[in-house]
Amino acid sequence: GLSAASPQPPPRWSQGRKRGADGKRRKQNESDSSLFDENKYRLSDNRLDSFTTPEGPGPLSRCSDWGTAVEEDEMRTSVNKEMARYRRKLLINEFSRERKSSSGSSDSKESTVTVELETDEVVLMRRQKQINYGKNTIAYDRYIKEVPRCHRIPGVHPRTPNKFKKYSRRSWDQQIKLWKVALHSWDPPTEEGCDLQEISPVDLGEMETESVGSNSTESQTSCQDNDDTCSSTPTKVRHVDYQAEGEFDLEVCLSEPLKDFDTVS
Amino acid sequence: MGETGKEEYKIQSFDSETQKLLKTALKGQQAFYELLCHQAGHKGCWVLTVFLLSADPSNVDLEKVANIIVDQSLKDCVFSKEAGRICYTIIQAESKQVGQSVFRRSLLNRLQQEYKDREELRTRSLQAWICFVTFICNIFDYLRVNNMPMMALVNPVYDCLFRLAQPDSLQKEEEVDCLVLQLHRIGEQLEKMNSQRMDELFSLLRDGFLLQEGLSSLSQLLLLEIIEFRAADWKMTDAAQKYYYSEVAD
Repeated sequence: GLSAASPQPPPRWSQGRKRGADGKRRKQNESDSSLFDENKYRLSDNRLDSFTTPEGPGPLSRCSDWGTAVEEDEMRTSVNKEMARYRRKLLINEFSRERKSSSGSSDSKESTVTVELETDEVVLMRRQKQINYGKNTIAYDRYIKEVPRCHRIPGVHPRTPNKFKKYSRRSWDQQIKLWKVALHSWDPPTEEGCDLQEISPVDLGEMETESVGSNSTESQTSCQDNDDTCSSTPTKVRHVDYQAEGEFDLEVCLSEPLKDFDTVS
Repeated sequence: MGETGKEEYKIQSFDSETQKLLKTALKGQQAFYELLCHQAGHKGCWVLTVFLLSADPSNVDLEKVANIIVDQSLKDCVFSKEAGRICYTIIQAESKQVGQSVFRRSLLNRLQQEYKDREELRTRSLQAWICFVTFICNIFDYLRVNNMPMMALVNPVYDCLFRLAQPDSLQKEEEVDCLVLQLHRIGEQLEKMNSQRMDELFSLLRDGFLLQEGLSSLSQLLLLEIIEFRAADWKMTDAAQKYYYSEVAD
């Protein structure tokens, strides 16, 4: 338990939170009274009427307060919209690819028009919450200000895991963990000095190409994903693939893969 | 305050009364909130909206603002008709400027509290109850989630309308008036969200019209008009317009 005797600096991860669980902005070094109650919303009489964490069983909070209900509704519809855009993007990319290889040269990969995506709403909502949790940090704010998306170097700069791809639960949770750890490099400097972490491209690379964990039933689909090179080259450098990250920049997405495919074929 | 230059410029563009209000607002938040309470009706809250849009929402206690707006709407029926638009504006501003929804959450949860105690509210003050129904329907009308109405409010709104269709409420003209007004404004949307409950509601209204004792002539007229309105797919037919809304030629 916490020792009440000597005041300890709050854990780094709580310092970096922009907002407490009630949504109010925190001053940078303010202790967060909702520290161990993340994502629990209290009613005025201080009963805990809901319990939602990203690691919870499902996206539906067990509470009945309208504020939360509407927020979840909003998340659900947003995720569905993102999904539609992502599918469109994949289709458009597929279309452009076919156009390019019109010479008839055989593709080393089967041209799969339908890539299996994660469609389970429960899973998507849980993943989105985890992503929101990671983005709700000062570190993330500083990161996106410092490194615009077009300047990101794959394998060096952290990238938000793609919630639409099929991953096992373990694999996904691991990706999230590593992503959040990597984001800590942009934590605001504390009194103890800035603790920058070594960014290990190797780790990220391994994580990214770790197609669905071998234990899970979803793993069968991984090799059919036309983005994954199930090739023999051990990839230390992440291949560029897509993900839905907040606002899509369709142009950016479209330009990236074409470069990639050139090197592959 | 390094920003006074900018603020000054903005203030100059308002009329003198509004200028005074804004200057007070900038001096201190507590004074601002008190001022808001004293401002009855639209003006106070439009000033509020303008202020919020030009200030940094993270410096304003949006939860407090939400409560002030709800309080005001329970007192002032004219305001409660317009409050939806104001709330919408504040929500958009907060979302764009800080990407949060503190105001919306506070508003909805406060609304939920009032909803839970609505029977007491009605007993305490018929007028406040009517204001509340007007307000919640206005919120339902204006606040959207990704272009869809808020699911969470559908049943509560229906519950309120069902309450207004109860015998004791039908005997009060103000409640009948409130009921038909809300149905005119949001009936069609509500029906799309849950047509079964709308059917049940109109069963009650038909029964009320036919069987209810103590219905004033005006109430009868209002009920008949809304029954016809819905039967015409929530549209005003020329015949109905002529009958209910045109001046009677002597």
